[in-house]
Amino acid sequence: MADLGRAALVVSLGLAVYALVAGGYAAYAGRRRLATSARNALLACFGSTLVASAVLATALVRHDFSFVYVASHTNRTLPTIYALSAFWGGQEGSLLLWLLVLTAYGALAVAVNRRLLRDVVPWVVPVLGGIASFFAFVLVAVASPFDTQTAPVDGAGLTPSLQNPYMVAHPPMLYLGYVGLSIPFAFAAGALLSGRTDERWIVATRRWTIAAWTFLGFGQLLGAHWAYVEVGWGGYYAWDPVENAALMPWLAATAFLHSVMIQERKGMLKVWNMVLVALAFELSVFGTFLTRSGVVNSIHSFAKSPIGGWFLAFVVISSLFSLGLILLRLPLLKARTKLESALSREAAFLYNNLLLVALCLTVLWGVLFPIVTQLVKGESRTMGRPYYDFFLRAFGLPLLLLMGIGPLIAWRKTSVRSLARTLAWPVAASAAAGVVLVAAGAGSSRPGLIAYTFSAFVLGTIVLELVKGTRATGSLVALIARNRRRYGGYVVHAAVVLLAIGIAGSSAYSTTREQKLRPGQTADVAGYRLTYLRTEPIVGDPNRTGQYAVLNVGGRWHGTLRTGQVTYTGFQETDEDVGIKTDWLRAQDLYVIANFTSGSQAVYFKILVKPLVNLIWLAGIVFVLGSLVALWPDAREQRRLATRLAPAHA
Amino acid sequence: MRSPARLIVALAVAGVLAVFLVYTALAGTSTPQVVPSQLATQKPGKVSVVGTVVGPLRGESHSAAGLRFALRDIGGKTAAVVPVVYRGDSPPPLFAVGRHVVVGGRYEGGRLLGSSILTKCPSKYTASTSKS
Repeated sequence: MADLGRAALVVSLGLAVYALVAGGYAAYAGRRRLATSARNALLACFGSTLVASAVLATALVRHDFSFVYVASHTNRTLPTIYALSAFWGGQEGSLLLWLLVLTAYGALAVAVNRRLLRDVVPWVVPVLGGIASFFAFVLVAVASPFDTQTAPVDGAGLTPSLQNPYMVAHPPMLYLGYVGLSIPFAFAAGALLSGRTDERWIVATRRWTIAAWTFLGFGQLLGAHWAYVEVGWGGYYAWDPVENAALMPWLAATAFLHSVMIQERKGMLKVWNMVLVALAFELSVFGTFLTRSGVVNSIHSFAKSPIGGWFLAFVVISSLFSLGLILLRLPLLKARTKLESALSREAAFLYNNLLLVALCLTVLWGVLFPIVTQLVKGESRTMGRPYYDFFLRAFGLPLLLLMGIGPLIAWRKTSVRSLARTLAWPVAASAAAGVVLVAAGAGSSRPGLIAYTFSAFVLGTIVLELVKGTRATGSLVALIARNRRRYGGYVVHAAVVLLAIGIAGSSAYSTTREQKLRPGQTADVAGYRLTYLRTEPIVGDPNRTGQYAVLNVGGRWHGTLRTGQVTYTGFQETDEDVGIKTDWLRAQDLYVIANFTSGSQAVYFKILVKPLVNLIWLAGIVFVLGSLVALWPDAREQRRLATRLAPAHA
Repeated sequence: MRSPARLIVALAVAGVLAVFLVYTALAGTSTPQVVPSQLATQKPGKVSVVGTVVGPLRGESHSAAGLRFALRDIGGKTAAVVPVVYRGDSPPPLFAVGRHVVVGGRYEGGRLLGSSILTKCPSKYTASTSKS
């Protein structure tokens, strides 16, 4: 079995190198048949990678511990779904998943666009072949999932806190996002190499970009929710390098998704878009380097491995390739039109882009800061949470405001008076919301109050747009169907507003108290009265030991809450079983963690009341819905674009 | 009319730099991050130490005497350990002897006076202890 997996990977490497070399030569020399052969090699590469993946999946499900990978990441008692999820749980398996998704995406994207972009696709194939060659090489020569050994009786198993449905979905979501960003990058490079730098490559890859961006965004929210319910620290995002590794390409891709609209409509920002798509791709690979190389300290215990150096080399080479290509083709990337006014929709998009990129680079600077200080000063220094929170407010709040202004401002140019007239209702709505919020006591946090007021403004603008559009078309459904991308975008904006409200509410207005209670004693926290009743040990469960504290809750909610600490048989790790009571009316959580280490009957309870935190998770659902609306095939839009881009075909 | 794009970009870059300068002037304090074996050469002051928890664990974090333990380098290539006195909220649930942690606090008199503890998340598959 392992031999088959190894052979399949060697074949994948050979086919990927063929797609790179033969495809490159065919594109350069204009050899159509050879180009078709290279394209087919990419498809065949997907086939052989699929065989290798099937071998690994079978070994995982069969508990074939003669595979070092299977023995290191699973054991016999592991349920099949978690055994299968070990495919992306370890380094070698996740690299194989990367190659599988890359070749699947690549083969499909090339096949779908081979007629539309007849002159660009021959150059896309070698670029995708180059990326696939790197991953196939790492899998064959550096980190093979098919190393074998004398099979032990059982495997090492899976940490209990990772035996969670979120952990089945979260990593592949991120990979689908990371790898998906390769497609717009490859098409952008293909457009540059072929000299066809019109807007067709953007149109061809738009859905791929939106899909990758959606996976990456939703994957991060899944990870945040896992941390919140499973890890037991009361938070959901720690600004850790590993978390930031997923955030950075998402921010760059968000900027790209906005700025391509300006290129499509106005033929502007061509260089900028090339830079953004390259940045998003490079950051997605750089994230893997960060998590695997151990160059920065993270609270996530990823295994250090020698692949870090290979990834760094790949990032450097591919960045130089991208930069060189953009510089080489600068004459072809001249804008068709110029920005006419600093008060126009184009300018608003530009401000949005600058803020997103500034936030992305700020996060990157925070991640790299320990490495830079180590190199420059010989002492590693870290940027803590205050640094990231400061810049999230400094750049995030203006971004939120722009999200409301952008869709309402006219193209080309507008006057201050006209803009003021357009924004009058949303501004009035946000001012009224501000007054109500101050009266309700939200003035205790200035950033929180600003976030809420800006959110009200954005929601006001979205509602205004929908009302105006519905009046014009006669139906909301017809309105959305007419321009799915635009209104899908508004739904995503509404999700961002929910996210902003959720983050502001759960961080700026949360209450945290740690209190030592003996049985019968009571703690009053933010309208809840918690009475510690008793401790119940876990009995008769061969897999778990530990205890639960039982609390009676009164005040805003009446009922019983259990929270405890559990140790699973065979594992050192003690897991926190958090007691969470959700108040859906307020979207808030009562979140209780018990600490039994006092050595007496008394238990330390950490009690958190987190207002509006559930809006963050709701935002995830709305975000996916908005993305689906934007992704849905839209024949009308295709016709519009075909007409607009017709001269480019000539 | 000349395009204002360059002006916008220039102003934006200047704005970002200004925000950076304001931040670093007013609030931008980074923290040295070291491993226990590097503490011997560290000046007293704010520090963040990455290491493996060494037992025994004595006392509790809420008491005046605090929770006491030691830290050694992850991987344990050197024998250097630093004694830690941690006072504050209960340590995270994953905190235990042998865990990899990041302790924030002040280094004074050869001891680390901890005020925060982060335990590393189990983001990788780890070996079970009782399997043969």
